[in-house]
Amino acid sequence: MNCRQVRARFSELLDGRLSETERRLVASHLEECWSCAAACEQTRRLRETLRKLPALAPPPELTSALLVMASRERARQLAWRTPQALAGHLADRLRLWAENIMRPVALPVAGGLVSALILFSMLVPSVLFLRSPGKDVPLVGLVQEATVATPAPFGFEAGDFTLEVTVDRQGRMVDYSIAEGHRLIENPRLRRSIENYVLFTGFRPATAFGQPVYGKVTVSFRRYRFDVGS
Amino acid sequence: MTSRILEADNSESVTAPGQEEPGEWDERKLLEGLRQGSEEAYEALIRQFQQPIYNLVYRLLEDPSEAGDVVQEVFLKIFRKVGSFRGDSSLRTWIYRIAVNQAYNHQRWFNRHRRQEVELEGPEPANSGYSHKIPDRGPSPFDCALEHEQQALIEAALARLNPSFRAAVVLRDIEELSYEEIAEILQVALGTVKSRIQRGREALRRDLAERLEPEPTYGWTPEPAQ
Ligand SMILES: [Zn+2]
Repeated sequence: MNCRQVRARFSELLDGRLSETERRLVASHLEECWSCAAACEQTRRLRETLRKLPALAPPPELTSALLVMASRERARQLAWRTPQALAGHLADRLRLWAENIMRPVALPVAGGLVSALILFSMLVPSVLFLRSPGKDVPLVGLVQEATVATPAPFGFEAGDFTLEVTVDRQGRMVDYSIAEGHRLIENPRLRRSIENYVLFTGFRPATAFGQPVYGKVTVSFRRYRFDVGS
Repeated sequence: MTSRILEADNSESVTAPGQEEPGEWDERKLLEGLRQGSEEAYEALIRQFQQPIYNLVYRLLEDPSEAGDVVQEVFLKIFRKVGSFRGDSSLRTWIYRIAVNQAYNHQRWFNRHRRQEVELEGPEPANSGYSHKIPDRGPSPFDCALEHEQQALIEAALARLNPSFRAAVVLRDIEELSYEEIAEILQVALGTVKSRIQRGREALRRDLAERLEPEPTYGWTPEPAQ
């Protein structure tokens, strides 16, 4: 073996992956060639030093973030399991929503109109305020409507219909109504599917002057796809 | 010198003996627990993989300050996809693969480097510039640096390494995975893994040698003896 062939085998030699024959060929070269022997020794020590590099400790806030995420994901996974668990999950969300509604609001000092807007949409989330700011409220550019951030990772069989979903400041669905396709409401199974779907859809909250506020998003379901409008 | 080299260890193994802490869950139990939504299993998964995944991602990213975010993305993927994990590979390999992919997704310029690697893997130039210094048997600065574990120096050299080689070296020498596991994680042939580990270590060695041993005024031979 020449130097190049030997050097191409250093790693496998050090990792104990060479056949007996190859190992002997490399060894006999190393006995004679000082420069290869030196390079091999350096590589061996480099490998050992890499192995002994102390592990970097993850920041403690990462651990807490992961634990919070785990419990959220677990709840989500379990919510899928049984109708009872799903109902419990929904009830929790509703309770949270109610608490948020009742909590006194710290209003940013941003002028009468916006304060009124935020206050009003907080108290009466079903009133559509942010849907077409261009028409009703002269706040173009300052108001951003709620949108769908991540669609739920599953679909369901249904006809064509349109939902109006109320999204809170955290981007959570707090209420929905079927704007088109009223007959659907009479089918309880389908209604559950819709609730499921909306619950697992991620929303981006509406904002006014950069502050998240309650908003509405219209989601149109057409067979095998859905469109987002506002 | 050579006798030590030839006592190359065969420590390469799938489970890395001696690394297991008491209370560590085996894969089957962990997987079962995760699928059942067991709180303990979720916590065990975090306990067991948080640190290795953080270390891996930290070293693969150009900007290590993003490591925390990427690790969170990795775990979110694990939690959401574990239900559809079919066990074609070990859980550990699967988790590392998600981590590597997630880290690469963060590097917009990664493809550029991948193209460079193709060039690097072509035939070597005639003069590959091996530094041939006759060892004088005394401890050289290189030896001292390694012996005193100048970690910062090594970490910096790792960071300068081509990302493809770096991933292979980190998985092999820091995470201590087998060549076969690395092939599964990086989704490349075993031969490619061998080549990346070899080239990565060689590039690191030369980088460190150049920094630690300024060109001597004698003792150079331009070409390796054939
Ligand atoms: Zn040689």
